[in-house]
Amino acid sequence: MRARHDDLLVVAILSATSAVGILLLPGGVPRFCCAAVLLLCAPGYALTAALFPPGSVTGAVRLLSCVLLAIATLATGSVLVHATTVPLGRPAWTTLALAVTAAACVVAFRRRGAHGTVSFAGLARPRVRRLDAVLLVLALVAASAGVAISRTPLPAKEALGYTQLWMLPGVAGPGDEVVIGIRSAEKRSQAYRLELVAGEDRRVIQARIVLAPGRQYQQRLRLPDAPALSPEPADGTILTAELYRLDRVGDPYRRVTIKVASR
Amino acid sequence: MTAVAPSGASDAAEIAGLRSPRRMHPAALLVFLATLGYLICVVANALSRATLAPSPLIFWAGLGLIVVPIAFRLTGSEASVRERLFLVCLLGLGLYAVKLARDPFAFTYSDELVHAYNAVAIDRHEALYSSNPILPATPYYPGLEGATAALMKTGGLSVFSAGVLVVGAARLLIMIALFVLFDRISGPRVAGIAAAVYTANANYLYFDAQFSYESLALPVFIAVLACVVLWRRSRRRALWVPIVMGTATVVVTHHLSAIALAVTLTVLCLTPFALRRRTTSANPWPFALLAVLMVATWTVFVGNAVIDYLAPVFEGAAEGVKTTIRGDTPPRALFKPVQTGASTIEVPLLERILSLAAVPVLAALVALGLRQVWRRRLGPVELLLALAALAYFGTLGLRLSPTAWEVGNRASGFLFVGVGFAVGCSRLEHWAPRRVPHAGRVLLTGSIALALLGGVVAGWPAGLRLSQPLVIEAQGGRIESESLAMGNWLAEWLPERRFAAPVGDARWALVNGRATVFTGSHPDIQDTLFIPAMAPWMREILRDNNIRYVITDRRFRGAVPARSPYFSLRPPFEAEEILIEPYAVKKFEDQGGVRVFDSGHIVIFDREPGL
Repeated sequence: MRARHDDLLVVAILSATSAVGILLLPGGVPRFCCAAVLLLCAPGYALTAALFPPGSVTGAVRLLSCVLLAIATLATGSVLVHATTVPLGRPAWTTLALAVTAAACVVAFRRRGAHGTVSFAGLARPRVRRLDAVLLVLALVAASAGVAISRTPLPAKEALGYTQLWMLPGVAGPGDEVVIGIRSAEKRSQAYRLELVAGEDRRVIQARIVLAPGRQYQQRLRLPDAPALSPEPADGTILTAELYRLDRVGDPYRRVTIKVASR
Repeated sequence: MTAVAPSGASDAAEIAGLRSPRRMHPAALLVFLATLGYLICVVANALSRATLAPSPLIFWAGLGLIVVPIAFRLTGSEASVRERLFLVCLLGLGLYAVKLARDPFAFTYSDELVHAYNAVAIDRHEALYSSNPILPATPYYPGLEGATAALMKTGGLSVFSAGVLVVGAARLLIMIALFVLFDRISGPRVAGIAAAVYTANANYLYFDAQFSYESLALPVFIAVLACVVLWRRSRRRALWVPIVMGTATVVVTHHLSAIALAVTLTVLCLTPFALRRRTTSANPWPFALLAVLMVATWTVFVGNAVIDYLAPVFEGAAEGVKTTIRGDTPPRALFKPVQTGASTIEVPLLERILSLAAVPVLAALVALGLRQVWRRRLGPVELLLALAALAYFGTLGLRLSPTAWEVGNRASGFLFVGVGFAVGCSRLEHWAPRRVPHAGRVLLTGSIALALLGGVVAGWPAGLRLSQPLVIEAQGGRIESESLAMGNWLAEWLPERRFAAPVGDARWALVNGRATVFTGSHPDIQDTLFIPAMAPWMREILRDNNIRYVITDRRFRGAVPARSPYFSLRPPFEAEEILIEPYAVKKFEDQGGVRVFDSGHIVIFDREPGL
């Protein structure tokens, strides 16, 4: 009877395909699947097949070896690749995993020779009883529901919201332009008023900004447009941006400052 | 006591069951119950995230539904070897899912954020050994982060998704390794029970499931031990490969686990001499020598920063034990209330009682088990595990010392392997009085459940056991907590700058903000941020470390890593937020800094404006 190594063939084909997928696909679930196959499954399986011919160890030992060697390949592989000064990018990882898998498959093939046949043709189809199938489907539904609920942000009645305010030099530099940003992390839509202050002078930049939770507002401000700064802002002038909530009176809700540099 | 059914009989029973069209396979039911338990835990966490204050019973019910049916099945004689292995894996992954139910959006534990930063650095720079300003020793043990970065780079995953997969693989590995180890020594029934008992160790549910280097190193450690035990009996040369690769993995992943592996293998070499008995099993001295050489080489040439990192810990622990025994230092309070910065959370009385009750129950089972092991001829591996079980109870005393507590806590993950083995050998499941034939199984299952409860109570503070609001929904929008949002803001507006920050907020700046962050006491950033006056030494620290930006957080919780990630909650749901002195923040502005960012509690100053 001709020896068959269906498992090695499947591993080799899947590994090669996954390697191509990792290098060429832009991202998303398909590339993740390729990475999972090539990095998490193939090296461990192939190395185990090379070390332990069929029937030589129990299923538990084989499974232990698969998982251990998969993890070890990645963990020690990173150190070995780094030592060669090759960057740890996609080509390096793909090459490492593919090389280990390919070499192990070749070794497994040679060690098995004509005696270690692994053929899928003779495998019996697993029998799943109806009740078992129902339970497993229900389990899948429960697990999926669990993941969905976990990953869904929920309203938190007692959580305290807040608002971010920032002011940074624009691209042109702190003497020419500033960027003022507001982001609302309040629990409901909020109305604000934005003012800019330089010394005694005060100017309303925006009389009313309404932001829903999670929304952001940005404004770029050329400094000649700022109060009391024409014709030229003095070096070291401190500009203050003050944010007021329209549903409150009194002190600014948020305050940021910037020092105008010489131009 | 009834005799154990030989495994052949259980396989025959399984085949007979398979032939019957009406019977349900127990494993299918257990899968369903485990996922139902997971769903209940998810609901408990969701209610907690929504600040609806769920009863702790919901969480315990979910946990019980995962553990109890599986443990009960494992105590029986009907399950085949394959089914026992499957159930052990199901148990391990089910409990890991409970951890993920607590933290579904991002890593939140203090150490997780530090290691996530290392993984992100490897992914970005495509090289190892970048610096880490918070835990400088960690980049020199890149096993976990290297494997994670591999998945990030090839799979296009975030550090969180990749990290979950890597730790998930490690959780699967530890259960398989425990099963193989115990199966080789005492057979599959003991193996299943012992592996289930191991999940009751205090660190199993949360601490050793976090994205941290021990979470990978410990499972590989046990896997190497299992392979060595296999090798001792069979002398198969093929086993050299997983042993050597596994040892190398432990060495490049976690310093303490590497030392523990070297010590364990050395003790295993010496135990035959202690037993003064000839044995046909091979002595694993080559692997012990290899482990010692690898640990020494790595420490000398790569990870020498770990010496400065670990030495104070052990010195402090030793000193702490002495001062506690002498009475100079009061003992550490068990079930200490957790100071969250805004509230103080007590451990419920019932949980304390049950947690304390778990200790004598475990001790009794260990004693029973060790008696059984002694009777049937103690071998070197059994002696090693017995010593580990006894040492575990010794380390419980370390928990009473404020400075040695951490050492005792970390050791439990390793030593509990011995406890699991001993309990697995107790044969309590064989006690079957005529009127109550399952009494022994019920008692053993109940003991495992009690031990698990005790472990969870001891291992994680009550107020932090369930998920807290980190990302919430508001009017259809998604908003993040103030600390998390600050980190994201840094990534967008001030990436890769140098900051001083409180201990908790520093981690978000580090990971999300890709910043170089200084925090803690060395240098003394903590006092620089908290003391309401600007002293010359503070300016010196900021200048000497080239720190341009200072992140201040008026909330005390900013310095509490366990609480800083989450939203502040309004009174009376949570106590009024404790705020630090206003001038501790204002002093940076008075010294010429500008406020570039203000989110209420968190204000970021630029000390060198205009540049």
